[in-house]
Amino acid sequence: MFDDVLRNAWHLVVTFDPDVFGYAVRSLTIATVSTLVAGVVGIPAGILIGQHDFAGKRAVVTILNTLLALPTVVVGLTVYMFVSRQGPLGHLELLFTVPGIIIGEVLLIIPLITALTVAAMSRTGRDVRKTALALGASSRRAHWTVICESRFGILAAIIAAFGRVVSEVGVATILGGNIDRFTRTMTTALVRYVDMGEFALALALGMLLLTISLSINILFQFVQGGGQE
Amino acid sequence: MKPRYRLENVVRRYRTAHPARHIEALRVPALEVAAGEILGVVGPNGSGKSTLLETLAFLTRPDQGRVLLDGIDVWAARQSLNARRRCPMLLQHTVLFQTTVLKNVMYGLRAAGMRRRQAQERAEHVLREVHLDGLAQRMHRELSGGERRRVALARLLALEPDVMLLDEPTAHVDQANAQLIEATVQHLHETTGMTVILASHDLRQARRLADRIVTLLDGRPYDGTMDNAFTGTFRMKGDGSFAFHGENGLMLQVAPQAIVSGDSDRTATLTDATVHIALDADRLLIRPGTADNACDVGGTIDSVHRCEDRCRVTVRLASGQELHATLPQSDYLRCGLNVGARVCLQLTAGSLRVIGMGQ
Repeated sequence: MFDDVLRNAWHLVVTFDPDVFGYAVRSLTIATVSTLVAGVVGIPAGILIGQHDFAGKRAVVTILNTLLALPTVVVGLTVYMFVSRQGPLGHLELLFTVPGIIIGEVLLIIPLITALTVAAMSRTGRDVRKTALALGASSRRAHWTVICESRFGILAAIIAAFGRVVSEVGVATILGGNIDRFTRTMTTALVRYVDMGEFALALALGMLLLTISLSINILFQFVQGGGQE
Repeated sequence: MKPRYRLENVVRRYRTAHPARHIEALRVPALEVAAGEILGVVGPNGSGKSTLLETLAFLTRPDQGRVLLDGIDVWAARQSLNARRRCPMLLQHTVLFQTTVLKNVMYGLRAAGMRRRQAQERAEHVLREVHLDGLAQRMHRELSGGERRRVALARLLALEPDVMLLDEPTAHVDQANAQLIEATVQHLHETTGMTVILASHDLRQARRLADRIVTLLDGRPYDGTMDNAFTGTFRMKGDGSFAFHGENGLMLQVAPQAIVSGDSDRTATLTDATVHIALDADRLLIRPGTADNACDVGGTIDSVHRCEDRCRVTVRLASGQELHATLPQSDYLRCGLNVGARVCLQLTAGSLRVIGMGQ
């Protein structure tokens, strides 16, 4: 039986099954848009926190690190309360839509991008800034130099966030509702097909997910390697 | 000579959570550095050498006092950026930007607004001068520790500065690269007459390179060199000699002639006052055996560090303190000295210097 399932799954992948690849495209679209939006917020926040000393900085970093382990279902539930019919944003009709999922994913990965950016800036930021100033750079140019020198760390933060969204189930299920051809993503479809006993389809999705995760990890390693001394 | 730098009552504190516990890292009542001078700043770790150099590089603003560069109070005149360009600093910890050697050397020039082509030509010229032209296209991570340090030095040279501030320029660098760095500094000073301020924990290096040496102890500068620094009190004895009681338990009987000329008269007035003294390692005579004379100090050889033709011998006294003495290797061998041997240290004429008073 397992041989048949595996053969069918492989067939679905190599023949570019429209259902399987439809879910993949949707997942990648959600991940791309979410990462871009979260990056616009998280990277500048991380740079600001990383480059400046202020009262309570340690508390902010601790909160960010705590948010890294936030269960995805908790984020999904929180956003659900806001965008459901009775919620304060109910009139926007975002529940069970792709934009609704994106809002949840963005809130999920903003702390991740911010925390990893702070870490990237903190690792070498102080020494780089001092070196730039010691070579006659203006304060603004020294700031920019620190950002440029942390580029591999920041890129790694973006890749990690993208990977988290692609492989995420909780937010996509609660806010997307797992509606076929509308809000169903690779991960929610996989859960659904396992429930239905459609193991070939589930396995095909699993293969795709594994390929994407592997590609992201290879890219992550490559980017991290680029920044190493 | 016209002073390049003048420091007046400069104080730098590092802040802690409690204002009462701010750490005073530097207190310089007065210090002048002449244009074209090589000033060596020596002192133990944590004595404030880096803080002093960062203050002179205008990387850190003093909490009190004035730093004058060519007679201009730089911070008051809001000219710190211009001053930083004239007085770049080689930091103790080398950071190369994540790019090629050439672009690293171009960084300061581009920061000063020079056009790319012109900056590249200047950087290539400097790399040729310091024999690093073969590494121009190497990435920062493809360099050895010594090469990284030389590239960091080339970054400063490219700026053609008025002053060069070097913080431990040969720390963690192999001997060959260290010699190249020293030769570069000397050559540059001879050809351009540039002012160089060099911080080093290596007294011998400072002596080799510097025209004048300032010693820092707990953030306070003292003229001259200092190897064995102690704080304590003097008492005059009936026979005209002095007894020094160190805060760390060191006890010395000091003949008047052992004290540097000028200080000996002053010592008589220092009874019971807290003083900082330094024993010149080059003037401590070391011989095998036990101390017969009251003014000699007995101990055991703890370690020997050989450098070029000299030996630096660390002697552990019975009271637990360490004294350092340097002597030619030939003398060391002739006396048959070894680690663990009992020896006697004699304070020869001019071996003790009073380098400061009070807390």
